[in-house]
Amino acid sequence: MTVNRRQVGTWRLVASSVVAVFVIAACGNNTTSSGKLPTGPVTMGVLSCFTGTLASLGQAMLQGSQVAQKAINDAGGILGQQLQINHADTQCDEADSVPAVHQLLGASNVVGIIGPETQEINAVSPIVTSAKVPTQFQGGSTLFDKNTDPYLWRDSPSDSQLGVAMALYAYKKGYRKAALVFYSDIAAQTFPPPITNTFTKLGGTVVKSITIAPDQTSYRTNVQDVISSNPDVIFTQTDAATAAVLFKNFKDLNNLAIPFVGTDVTGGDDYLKAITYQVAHDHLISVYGTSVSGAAADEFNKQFAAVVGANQQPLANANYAYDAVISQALAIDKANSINGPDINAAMTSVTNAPGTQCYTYKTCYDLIKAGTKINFDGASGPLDYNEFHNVFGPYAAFQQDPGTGQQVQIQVLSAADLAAATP
Amino acid sequence: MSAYIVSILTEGAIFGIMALGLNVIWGWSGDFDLAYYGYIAVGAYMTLVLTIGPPIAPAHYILGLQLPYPAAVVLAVVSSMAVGLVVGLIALRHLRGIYFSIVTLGAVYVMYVFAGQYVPLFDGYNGLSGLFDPMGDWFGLDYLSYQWFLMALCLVMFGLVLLFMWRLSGSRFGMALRTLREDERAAAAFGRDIYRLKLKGYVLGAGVGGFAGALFVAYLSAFNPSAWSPVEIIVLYSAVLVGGRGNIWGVVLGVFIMGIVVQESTRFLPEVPGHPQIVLALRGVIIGLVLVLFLRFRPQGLLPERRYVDPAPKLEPATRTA
Amino acid sequence: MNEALLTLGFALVTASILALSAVAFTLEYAVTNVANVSHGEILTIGAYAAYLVHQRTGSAIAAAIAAALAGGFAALLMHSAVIGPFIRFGATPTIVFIATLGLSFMIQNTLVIFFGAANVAYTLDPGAPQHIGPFLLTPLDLQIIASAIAITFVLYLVISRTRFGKALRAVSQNRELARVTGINATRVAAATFFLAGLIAGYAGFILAESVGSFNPYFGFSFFLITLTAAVAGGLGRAFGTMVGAVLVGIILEFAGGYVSASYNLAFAFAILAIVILVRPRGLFTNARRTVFE
Repeated sequence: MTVNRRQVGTWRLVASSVVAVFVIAACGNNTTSSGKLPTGPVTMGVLSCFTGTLASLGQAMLQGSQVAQKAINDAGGILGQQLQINHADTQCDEADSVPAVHQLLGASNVVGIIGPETQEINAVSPIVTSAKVPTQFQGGSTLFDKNTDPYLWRDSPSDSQLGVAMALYAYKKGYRKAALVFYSDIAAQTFPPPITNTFTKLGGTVVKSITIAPDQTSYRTNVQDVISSNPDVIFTQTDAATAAVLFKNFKDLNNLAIPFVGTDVTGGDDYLKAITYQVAHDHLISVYGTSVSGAAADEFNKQFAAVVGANQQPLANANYAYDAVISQALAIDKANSINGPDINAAMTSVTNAPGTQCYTYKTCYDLIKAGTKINFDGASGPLDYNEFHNVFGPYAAFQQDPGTGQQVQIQVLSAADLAAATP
Repeated sequence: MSAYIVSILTEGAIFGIMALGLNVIWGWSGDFDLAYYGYIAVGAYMTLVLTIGPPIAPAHYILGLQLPYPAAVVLAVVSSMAVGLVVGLIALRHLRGIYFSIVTLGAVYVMYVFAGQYVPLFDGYNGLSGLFDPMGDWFGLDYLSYQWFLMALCLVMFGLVLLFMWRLSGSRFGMALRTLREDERAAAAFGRDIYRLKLKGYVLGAGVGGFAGALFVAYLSAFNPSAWSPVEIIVLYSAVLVGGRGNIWGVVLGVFIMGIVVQESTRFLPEVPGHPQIVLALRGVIIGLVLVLFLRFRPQGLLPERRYVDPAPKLEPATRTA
Repeated sequence: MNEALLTLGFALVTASILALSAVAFTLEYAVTNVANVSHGEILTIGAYAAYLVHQRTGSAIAAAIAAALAGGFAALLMHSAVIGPFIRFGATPTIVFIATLGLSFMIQNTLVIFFGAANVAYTLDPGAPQHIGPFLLTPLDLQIIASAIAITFVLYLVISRTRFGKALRAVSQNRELARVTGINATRVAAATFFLAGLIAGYAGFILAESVGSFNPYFGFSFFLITLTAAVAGGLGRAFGTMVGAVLVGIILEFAGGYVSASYNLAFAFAILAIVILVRPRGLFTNARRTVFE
């Protein structure tokens, strides 16, 4: 019998691997810091989903980042070096996000990260914090409203804020009875409370609130349910595919008689295409953050047309990624260093008031070089971070123009009104 | 870069434990169990609710204790064995083949839906988080040293599970499971209680899965329904198949090939500009292709199971091994 | 009561599409004894083919034909390249089942490579909803239900009246015996797959434009419900499957309405599990279940 030999062999294997590991551990040390000034191209990483049903999220983030990359490199780059954008696929899966972020940190040596999504942030944040790499979170989760992690920033509005804006807009428009139709992912847990609380505080009533499972082939029973409760307005966010079915069912059953108020997701090109531009124009208003002046948004659109093509529209939330990259690049310029803690410390000094307002990377960089304190206002909003690294911006209601395929701002909701409406 | 390699090795060790547990159910008992990932998830979730303390609004979840990590792991394993017992009781009684597979698929899907939709259970789609560096404070480790510690711990655990499986393989229980797989009627004729044996094997496999889940969550620090991705699952099953179903060394090899080599090397393929999803989808095609090719040309895997030949004196010429 | 009838009407549309998909699946099972997990992908391929053709020609009829043909050839290829060789090689049904799982994964990702993972919008004008008796349906819904009935009828004729149908029945009941009587089982199986693919491809077309948009994964999610309907009706029994599909469609629509819709598929699986445990031969048969399947 060869049992004893194999038994000993196995023990030897286990023992030697343990010893080997500790030997390596003793030799292993921190990844060497890349020094203060860049000696080669500067790399930032996009960490998101690129495969799977939510792949449009990653695509949008990468798109926005690449538009920013062009603007930056055209203006001379970051501290004189060109910007590279790498990406890693988390598959919108928390388990895969850990090796993915390690890939960006270890193999790509990124100085800043754009992403991830709400599904992955819990697993990713301890890693980026220990690695001291500034990370621009792109999810709407309300749990992030009280973020205390110094290396995490979010330049897009929390669902809690956006919910307030949506309710305010609807109330101002004269609607008093509302229905909520959200799909069963994290959005369904974060939007209904602020919308309901705000709408009720202002004096309206919520007559129906339903959650639908995504990617079903028919929602007619749910839709009929909503119609029977007689709302004046329907608040909604779902993914593009679900929206297509939903709107179809509403069209079949009541000819889309009830108007919809949506979010930044519903203002994205994939969503609008799924329900068609004409339907969007006639029945949907999307509420989301807007830039203080048109200049930053114009610059974004100009660069977007140069990179992607003049007849295409940005995917939902690409502008947040754009702003994230530009603000990080400016922070590096201001800190004169690619060292994580330096960049992090410099962030609010380029984005927050007071300072000379600037809207494009080129003008902002020139001002920095001249020694002026700047206040970068982005395409998605003024990017003034509060103590929790969240932003609050003016919000606006947008309607789709079927001719140009663009979203047109039709009403602005002022910060004062929003503050008054917040429950 | 070293942090990346450490994380891959840690994940590989955990993956290896998962595959060894699956091997008990699929390799030895011969049942293609699709509910297996559910036990990993139960182990992960239970470990979290036993270590991260009471829920802070607006999060909701059950329990919310703050036990030391090893105690939580033990309880998590018990929980996954309990869930495995329930599913096994139902599915193993009369079902085999694809009917068994379909019912287990249904079971795991129901688990997935409940974990994601029923918020009071595990905070729904938000999932749970906050398990930072378990046992790290016992040794006063900082973040980077802890990664090495965790890797060592997972490798050691993997070694122990491997040893356990190796002993089990040669034991009466292990051999009995395999005779069931080969010919249930014959086994029944020899007086084996098929149902009880299979159930024991199933619950054991579920427990190993739960253990892997508990370690997994120490690695991830969080867990939510997004981690139940079909890609992970297919890679796990392919690993067992490619390496050699039934042979524990084969399973280890399979984990190395599918989990580490195929999964991670495809991360570094050059991108096609403008279409970021092409290379990543290509990874999926490759994994599926490897699975199909192995099933066709080498279903026993790279390291086929060793046939146990009776060393007793030969009374008649050896007949062909089935 | 009115609400219930409305729900019933909606369920009929889902059930029609489901019936076509499930009967195609069950045909595949009948001639090979294999549960083809990549069956959903036949629908997806049909949907993409219809979309491409519709873009070029603007004709819904051409799109429908393209979908059916694409589905037919895809299914034929599945059989010739994967399932057939596996059966000849002597693999057990479970092995082939796993192989079709791998195949499904490959096809989904291949579609992602060519078409991207994002959704493709595809709509036909449904027309205004009308009250047909107690139901509320659009003209497009009526077309869907009518075409489902028509296809079912044609299929019935093919299976019961033609020589090919006889051969099909022979192979599904006892492959070896059919061979002995001179039937080329492999050819019959291949032809059946083509037929099943035609139906499934068409089902993919009507599903896609009834839903309004689709992506490479959409066939797979529909497959789970298809499986439920097919098992409920009795794997391998075409007409039981259709009744099973109607039942499952109705249960899902009602469950979605009166219980939270997120638990929809969980319901489908609960049904499936119960059916398998209680009557694995399907709801409409008298055969007793055996221990060793």
